[in-house]
Amino acid sequence: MKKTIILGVSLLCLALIVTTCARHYGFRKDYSRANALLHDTENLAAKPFLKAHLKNGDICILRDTWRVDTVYQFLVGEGDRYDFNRNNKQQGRLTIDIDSVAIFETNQKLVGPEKERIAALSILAGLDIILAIYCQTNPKACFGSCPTFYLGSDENVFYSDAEGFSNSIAPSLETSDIDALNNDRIVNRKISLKMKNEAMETHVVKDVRIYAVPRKEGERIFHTPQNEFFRCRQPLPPKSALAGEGDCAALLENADKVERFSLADPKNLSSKEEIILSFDPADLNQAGLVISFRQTMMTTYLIYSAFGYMGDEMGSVFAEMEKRAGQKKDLGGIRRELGDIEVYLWDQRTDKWVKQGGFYETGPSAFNHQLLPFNKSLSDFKEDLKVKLVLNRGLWRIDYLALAGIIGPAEAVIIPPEKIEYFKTGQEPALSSADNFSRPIISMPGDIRRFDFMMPDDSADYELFLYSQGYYLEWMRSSWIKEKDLGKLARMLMVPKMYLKEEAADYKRYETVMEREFWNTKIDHRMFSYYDKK
Amino acid sequence: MIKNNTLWAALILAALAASCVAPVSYLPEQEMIGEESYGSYIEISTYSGKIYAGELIAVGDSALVVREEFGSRSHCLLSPLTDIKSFSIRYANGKNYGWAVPLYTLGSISHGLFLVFTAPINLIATTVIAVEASQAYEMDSRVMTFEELKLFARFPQGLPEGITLDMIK
Repeated sequence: MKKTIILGVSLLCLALIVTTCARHYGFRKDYSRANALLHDTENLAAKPFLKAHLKNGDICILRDTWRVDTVYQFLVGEGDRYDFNRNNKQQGRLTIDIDSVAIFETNQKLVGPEKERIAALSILAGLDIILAIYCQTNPKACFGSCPTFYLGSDENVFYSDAEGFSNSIAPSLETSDIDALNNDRIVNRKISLKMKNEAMETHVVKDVRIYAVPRKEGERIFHTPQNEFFRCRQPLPPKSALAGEGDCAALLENADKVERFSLADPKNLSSKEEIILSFDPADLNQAGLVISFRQTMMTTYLIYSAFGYMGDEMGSVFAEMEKRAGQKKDLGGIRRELGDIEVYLWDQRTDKWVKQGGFYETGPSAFNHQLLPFNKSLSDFKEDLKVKLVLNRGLWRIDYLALAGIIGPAEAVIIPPEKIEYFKTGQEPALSSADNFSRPIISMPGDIRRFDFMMPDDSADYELFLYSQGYYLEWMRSSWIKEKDLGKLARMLMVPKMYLKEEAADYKRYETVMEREFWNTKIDHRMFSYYDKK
Repeated sequence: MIKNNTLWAALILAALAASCVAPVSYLPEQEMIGEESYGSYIEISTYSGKIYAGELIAVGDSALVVREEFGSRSHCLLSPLTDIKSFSIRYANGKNYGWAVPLYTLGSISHGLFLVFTAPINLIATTVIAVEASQAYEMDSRVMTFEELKLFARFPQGLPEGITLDMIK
């Protein structure tokens, strides 16, 4: 693959050099005698501009209306006369004694000297725009994978409200997933949720439900990585959040999509970093850390790389994997190396960090809003509460961190969809069903399904969570087949620690621009939503 | 937080390289070639290790005259032809396409994962175009003789009689 790219770039550059480096020679001529000038220019369709260099150093620049009076030996025409220091002496009709002229000079007009360069830039811009439009209309073909769910009107793939079963890339890896939808106050009993397939994938969706937990004014409901629900008081942001780059508390105090992230270690993709959080002393019997987070593009890159290494044997590899479904833990090596966002609490009595657990969700699109309850009460904490996060460098984007007092466990009402409508991008709903997944939904690229749910009580407010179950099959790209490298695949699966070191340089090339610019610049994120182009 | 930014360094260097040729005030834009009254801009490298640059005033049989500018002041100097190792002239200001380098390269961001392929292509292609454009109206001693060089002087006929070097501004 690399050879092809190098060859392609070389050929393109060669073509551009050939087309753009044309020099202009022989466009300027001089004549010491007027007869030679007349002879050379008499058959020209358009007279060239004429410069008459006079013996005293003056110059007369005549437009294309000049003529030579051979009887009286005058050169006559409209133009400008300059002295030897090029101060303008005369403008308008000039009559010049031919005997005073040292040299006549003509210049052939250069026709479209920038034509080739403008053409080359236009072709390049055209190709770039075609690819950009393709990526905007098929964002996940370019940017990511797995089904995306939208609750609100913002249908930008990078701010989807949930991603379903991101790790389930084969039938044997089928799983279910619960994602908080982080919804505002419910004002309508009917809740509609859109599910899109924006990738080159086949999604097999076996279930979609809403878990609705009633909440009161001033309360929030959070779920844990173990999918337990807790009723909490409004969370408190950290006083400080010390990371490698300094205090990043300002980035973490609000769930505003302004995220804290770091770039990967250039020598090792699995190297770790720490964030030390400090909270005001809290007299809380039970509390936990609330986090809003998602991944960078690192896991997408690694998944696509794995498919590429499989090359034309991807089908065989997956078939083998399905046959030996019990051994699927072999695929978890990279996951283990990258690790969770580990959470530690500072024990003020023993002066030690005590591990509380961790967060992990795959996917760069939707934010995951979760709670990790601490293992011990904070009621006897007199000093600032300190929490340490240990996380893989360049893997996580954290939008929000806060301390939440836990009121108690909560029960969710499970709500199946009342109606499912199917349509394609830009089309009206064509089919409807509400058979509650007697058969899986097969969602193909471009498919959209709208799920309508009815809340049990129209006067109550609910915290909503999305439950989805299924798996997806990534479509092989022809460019990936050329990257086949079973040796690298074996290293990725068998010795992930070594692989993550080897791959660091290649990933950094991708990450440097992609991560920092794509996510962090003020580019209007709406450009990536394919609804926005309409 | 941000380290090892090779692509950024390449991008900045390429943009600088592409736009490092400053325009010369007395040279015409490419549309006005043939209507200028001044000589071309010349850079001369001599065997004695000196480098001159300025407006080409005249080319004589044994020496050429160059007007060097220092801010608002200028002076003419003679450079013997036998001492000239090489020269290059610019007879018009090239179009500046330096803007295209960051624009196209950063535009690759919209290509998602394909960026790894399109960013280097855009970077290299636009840099080549910008550098070539900045040098499009240049010639050097490899392709022209002193006789041909005369045509690009302010006085292609040679230094006019009665005009001394210190009179030329």
